[in-house]
Amino acid sequence: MTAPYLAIDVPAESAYLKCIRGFLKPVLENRFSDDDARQIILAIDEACANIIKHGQGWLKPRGRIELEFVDGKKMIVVRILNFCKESQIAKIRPRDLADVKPGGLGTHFMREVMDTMDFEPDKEHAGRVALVMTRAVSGKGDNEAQGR
Amino acid sequence: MKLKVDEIESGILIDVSGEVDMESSPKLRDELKKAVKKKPASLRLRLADVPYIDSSGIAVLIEGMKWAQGKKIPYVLVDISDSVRDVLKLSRLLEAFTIEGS
Repeated sequence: MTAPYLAIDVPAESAYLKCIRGFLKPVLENRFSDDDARQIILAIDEACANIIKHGQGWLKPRGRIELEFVDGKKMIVVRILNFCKESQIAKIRPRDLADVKPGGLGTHFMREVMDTMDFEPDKEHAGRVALVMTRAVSGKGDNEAQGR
Repeated sequence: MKLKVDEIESGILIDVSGEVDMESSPKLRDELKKAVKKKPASLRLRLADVPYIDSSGIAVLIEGMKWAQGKKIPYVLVDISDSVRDVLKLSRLLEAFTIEGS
Protein backbone atom coordinates (compact mmCIF):
# COMPACT_ATOMS: atom_id res chain seq x y z
CA MET A 1 0.00 0.00 0.00
CA THR A 2 1.25 3.48 -0.81
CA ALA A 3 2.60 5.37 2.19
CA PRO A 4 0.53 8.35 3.31
CA TYR A 5 1.61 11.56 1.59
CA LEU A 6 1.14 15.04 3.01
CA ALA A 7 2.15 18.45 1.69
CA ILE A 8 2.21 22.05 2.79
CA ASP A 9 2.88 25.13 0.69
CA VAL A 10 3.38 28.49 2.43
CA PRO A 11 5.01 31.84 1.58
CA ALA A 12 8.79 31.81 2.14
CA GLU A 13 8.55 34.22 5.05
CA SER A 14 9.63 33.66 8.64
CA ALA A 15 6.12 34.25 9.99
CA TYR A 16 5.01 31.02 8.30
CA LEU A 17 7.64 28.73 9.84
CA LYS A 18 5.29 28.25 12.77
CA CYS A 19 2.65 26.87 10.37
CA ILE A 20 5.12 24.26 9.10
CA ARG A 21 6.02 23.20 12.64
CA GLY A 22 2.34 22.95 13.50
CA PHE A 23 1.75 20.83 10.41
CA LEU A 24 4.57 18.42 11.27
CA LYS A 25 4.04 18.09 15.03
CA PRO A 26 1.02 15.73 15.18
CA VAL A 27 2.38 13.51 12.39
CA LEU A 28 5.82 13.16 13.94
CA GLU A 29 4.57 12.75 17.49
CA ASN A 30 2.54 9.81 16.23
CA ARG A 31 5.64 8.04 14.93
CA PHE A 32 8.52 9.10 17.17
CA SER A 33 9.27 9.72 20.83
CA ASP A 34 8.56 13.28 21.94
CA ASP A 35 12.30 14.09 22.05
CA ASP A 36 12.93 12.70 18.56
CA ALA A 37 9.85 14.42 17.14
CA ARG A 38 11.06 17.73 18.58
CA GLN A 39 14.49 17.32 17.00
CA ILE A 40 13.09 16.31 13.61
CA ILE A 41 10.81 19.36 13.64
CA LEU A 42 13.89 21.47 14.40
CA ALA A 43 15.85 19.96 11.50
CA ILE A 44 13.03 20.52 9.01
CA ASP A 45 12.37 24.01 10.35
CA GLU A 46 16.05 24.87 9.87
CA ALA A 47 15.92 23.65 6.27
CA CYS A 48 12.89 25.86 5.63
CA ALA A 49 14.57 28.82 7.34
CA ASN A 50 17.53 28.30 5.01
CA ILE A 51 15.24 28.85 2.03
CA ILE A 52 14.16 32.18 3.48
CA LYS A 53 17.71 33.26 4.36
CA HIS A 54 19.59 31.99 1.33
CA GLY A 55 17.76 29.81 -1.17
CA GLN A 56 15.19 32.32 -2.30
CA GLY A 57 16.61 35.52 -0.89
CA TRP A 58 17.10 36.83 -4.41
CA LEU A 59 13.46 36.43 -5.37
CA LYS A 60 11.32 39.57 -5.24
CA PRO A 61 8.72 39.06 -4.02
CA ARG A 62 9.79 36.04 -1.98
CA GLY A 63 8.82 32.62 -3.29
CA ARG A 64 7.17 29.79 -1.46
CA ILE A 65 8.19 26.88 0.74
CA GLU A 66 6.83 23.68 -0.80
CA LEU A 67 7.27 20.74 1.54
CA GLU A 68 6.25 17.15 0.82
CA PHE A 69 6.18 14.53 3.55
CA VAL A 70 5.93 10.76 3.05
CA ASP A 71 4.92 8.93 6.20
CA GLY A 72 6.47 5.59 5.25
CA LYS A 73 6.35 2.31 7.11
CA LYS A 74 10.06 2.26 7.89
CA MET A 75 11.07 5.85 7.34
CA ILE A 76 9.79 9.33 6.82
CA VAL A 77 10.88 11.23 3.73
CA VAL A 78 10.86 15.02 3.64
CA ARG A 79 11.26 16.71 0.28
CA ILE A 80 11.56 20.48 0.11
CA LEU A 81 11.13 21.70 -3.45
CA ASN A 82 12.87 24.71 -4.97
CA PHE A 83 15.39 24.60 -2.12
CA CYS A 84 18.22 26.51 -3.76
CA LYS A 85 20.18 26.94 -6.99
CA GLU A 86 22.45 24.03 -7.97
CA SER A 87 25.40 26.39 -7.59
CA GLN A 88 24.56 27.00 -3.93
CA ILE A 89 24.80 23.35 -2.81
CA ALA A 90 28.52 23.55 -2.03
CA LYS A 91 27.89 26.37 0.41
CA ILE A 92 25.53 24.26 2.52
CA ARG A 93 27.85 22.66 5.03
CA PRO A 94 28.12 22.60 8.82
CA ARG A 95 30.80 24.62 10.55
CA ASP A 96 33.28 23.70 13.28
CA LEU A 97 31.24 23.66 16.48
CA ALA A 98 34.33 24.13 18.67
CA ASP A 99 34.26 27.76 17.61
CA VAL A 100 31.54 29.31 19.78
CA LYS A 101 30.00 31.95 17.56
CA PRO A 102 26.56 32.86 16.29
CA GLY A 103 25.32 31.38 13.01
CA GLY A 104 25.89 28.26 10.99
CA LEU A 105 24.16 25.81 13.32
CA GLY A 106 21.13 25.05 11.14
CA THR A 107 22.96 22.76 8.74
CA HIS A 108 24.54 20.96 11.69
CA PHE A 109 21.07 20.26 13.14
CA MET A 110 19.84 18.92 9.81
CA ARG A 111 22.79 16.56 9.41
CA GLU A 112 22.82 15.50 13.05
CA VAL A 113 19.13 14.71 13.34
CA MET A 114 18.27 13.24 9.94
CA ASP A 115 19.70 9.95 8.63
CA THR A 116 20.26 11.23 5.11
CA MET A 117 20.31 14.62 3.45
CA ASP A 118 20.64 14.83 -0.33
CA PHE A 119 19.84 17.09 -3.22
CA GLU A 120 18.04 16.12 -6.39
CA PRO A 121 17.18 18.09 -9.52
CA ASP A 122 13.84 19.82 -9.13
CA LYS A 123 11.70 18.93 -12.13
CA GLU A 124 9.28 21.74 -11.44
CA HIS A 125 11.89 24.49 -11.15
CA ALA A 126 14.66 24.66 -13.78
CA GLY A 127 18.19 25.09 -12.39
CA ARG A 128 16.99 24.53 -8.85
CA VAL A 129 17.33 21.54 -6.53
CA ALA A 130 15.06 19.87 -4.01
CA LEU A 131 16.39 18.92 -0.58
CA VAL A 132 15.50 15.37 0.41
CA MET A 133 15.94 14.19 3.99
CA THR A 134 15.03 10.84 5.52
CA ARG A 135 14.81 9.45 9.01
CA ALA A 136 14.15 5.85 10.03
CA VAL A 137 11.09 5.37 12.18
CA SER A 138 11.70 4.20 15.68
CA GLY A 139 9.85 4.62 18.90
CA LYS A 140 6.12 4.87 19.12
CA GLY A 141 4.86 2.21 16.76
CA ASP A 142 4.67 2.31 13.02
CA ASN A 143 2.22 2.49 10.15
CA GLU A 144 2.10 -1.28 9.82
CA ALA A 145 0.90 -1.57 13.39
CA GLN A 146 -1.73 1.02 12.60
CA GLY A 147 -3.00 -1.03 9.69
CA ARG A 148 -1.46 1.07 6.92
CA MET B 1 7.28 35.39 22.06
CA LYS B 2 6.96 37.73 25.04
CA LEU B 3 9.74 39.41 26.98
CA LYS B 4 9.45 40.70 30.53
CA VAL B 5 12.36 42.82 31.63
CA ASP B 6 12.99 43.40 35.34
CA GLU B 7 15.73 45.70 36.52
CA ILE B 8 16.60 44.48 39.99
CA GLU B 9 19.42 45.19 42.41
CA SER B 10 21.45 42.23 41.20
CA GLY B 11 21.12 43.22 37.55
CA ILE B 12 18.69 42.71 34.70
CA LEU B 13 16.44 39.67 34.39
CA ILE B 14 14.79 39.01 31.03
CA ASP B 15 11.98 36.50 31.25
CA VAL B 16 11.40 34.93 27.83
CA SER B 17 8.18 33.10 27.10
CA GLY B 18 7.07 31.52 23.84
CA GLU B 19 8.87 30.25 20.77
CA VAL B 20 12.22 31.79 19.86
CA ASP B 21 12.61 31.36 16.12
CA MET B 22 13.71 33.25 13.02
CA GLU B 23 10.64 35.48 13.29
CA SER B 24 10.92 36.37 16.97
CA SER B 25 14.66 36.19 17.74
CA PRO B 26 15.45 39.74 16.45
CA LYS B 27 13.21 41.09 19.23
CA LEU B 28 15.24 39.18 21.86
CA ARG B 29 18.46 40.39 20.24
CA ASP B 30 17.31 44.03 20.49
CA GLU B 31 16.40 43.59 24.15
CA LEU B 32 19.76 41.98 24.95
CA LYS B 33 21.60 44.77 23.19
CA LYS B 34 19.67 47.37 25.20
CA ALA B 35 20.32 45.50 28.45
CA VAL B 36 24.08 45.20 27.86
CA LYS B 37 24.32 48.94 27.10
CA LYS B 38 23.02 49.63 30.61
CA LYS B 39 26.03 47.76 32.05
CA PRO B 40 24.02 45.91 34.73
CA ALA B 41 25.70 44.00 37.57
CA SER B 42 24.51 40.83 35.85
CA LEU B 43 22.33 39.81 32.92
CA ARG B 44 20.08 36.83 33.44
CA LEU B 45 17.76 35.19 30.92
CA ARG B 46 14.97 33.03 32.25
CA LEU B 47 14.08 30.40 29.64
CA ALA B 48 11.69 28.13 31.55
CA ASP B 49 8.75 28.97 29.30
CA VAL B 50 10.44 28.52 25.94
CA PRO B 51 8.89 25.48 24.23
CA TYR B 52 10.93 25.90 21.04
CA ILE B 53 14.20 27.52 20.04
CA ASP B 54 15.96 27.29 16.69
CA SER B 55 19.47 28.13 15.49
CA SER B 56 18.64 31.83 15.16
CA GLY B 57 17.59 31.85 18.83
CA ILE B 58 20.78 30.06 19.86
CA ALA B 59 22.76 32.57 17.79
CA VAL B 60 21.15 35.41 19.75
CA LEU B 61 22.00 33.71 23.06
CA ILE B 62 25.62 33.49 21.91
CA GLU B 63 25.68 37.11 20.73
CA GLY B 64 24.32 38.23 24.10
CA MET B 65 27.00 36.23 25.87
CA LYS B 66 29.75 37.77 23.72
CA TRP B 67 28.44 41.31 24.29
CA ALA B 68 28.20 40.70 28.05
CA GLN B 69 31.69 39.19 28.17
CA GLY B 70 33.01 42.23 26.35
CA LYS B 71 31.76 44.43 29.19
CA LYS B 72 32.60 41.91 31.91
CA ILE B 73 28.92 41.44 32.79
CA PRO B 74 28.06 38.02 34.26
CA TYR B 75 25.63 36.37 31.81
CA VAL B 76 23.46 33.55 33.09
CA LEU B 77 20.76 31.36 31.57
CA VAL B 78 18.22 30.52 34.27
CA ASP B 79 15.74 27.64 34.52
CA ILE B 80 16.14 26.53 30.91
CA SER B 81 13.33 24.41 29.49
CA ASP B 82 13.91 20.86 28.24
CA SER B 83 13.65 22.11 24.66
CA VAL B 84 16.32 24.75 25.16
CA ARG B 85 18.56 22.24 26.94
CA ASP B 86 18.10 19.75 24.11
CA VAL B 87 19.05 22.27 21.40
CA LEU B 88 22.04 23.57 23.40
CA LYS B 89 23.18 19.96 23.78
CA LEU B 90 22.72 19.35 20.06
CA SER B 91 24.81 22.48 19.44
CA ARG B 92 27.53 21.25 21.87
CA LEU B 93 27.02 24.50 23.77
CA LEU B 94 25.84 23.34 27.19
CA GLU B 95 29.28 23.96 28.63
CA ALA B 96 29.70 27.32 26.93
CA PHE B 97 27.00 29.03 29.01
CA THR B 98 26.62 29.58 32.73
CA ILE B 99 23.33 27.83 33.52
CA GLU B 100 21.47 28.00 36.82
CA GLY B 101 18.42 26.09 38.01
CA SER B 102 16.40 23.27 36.41
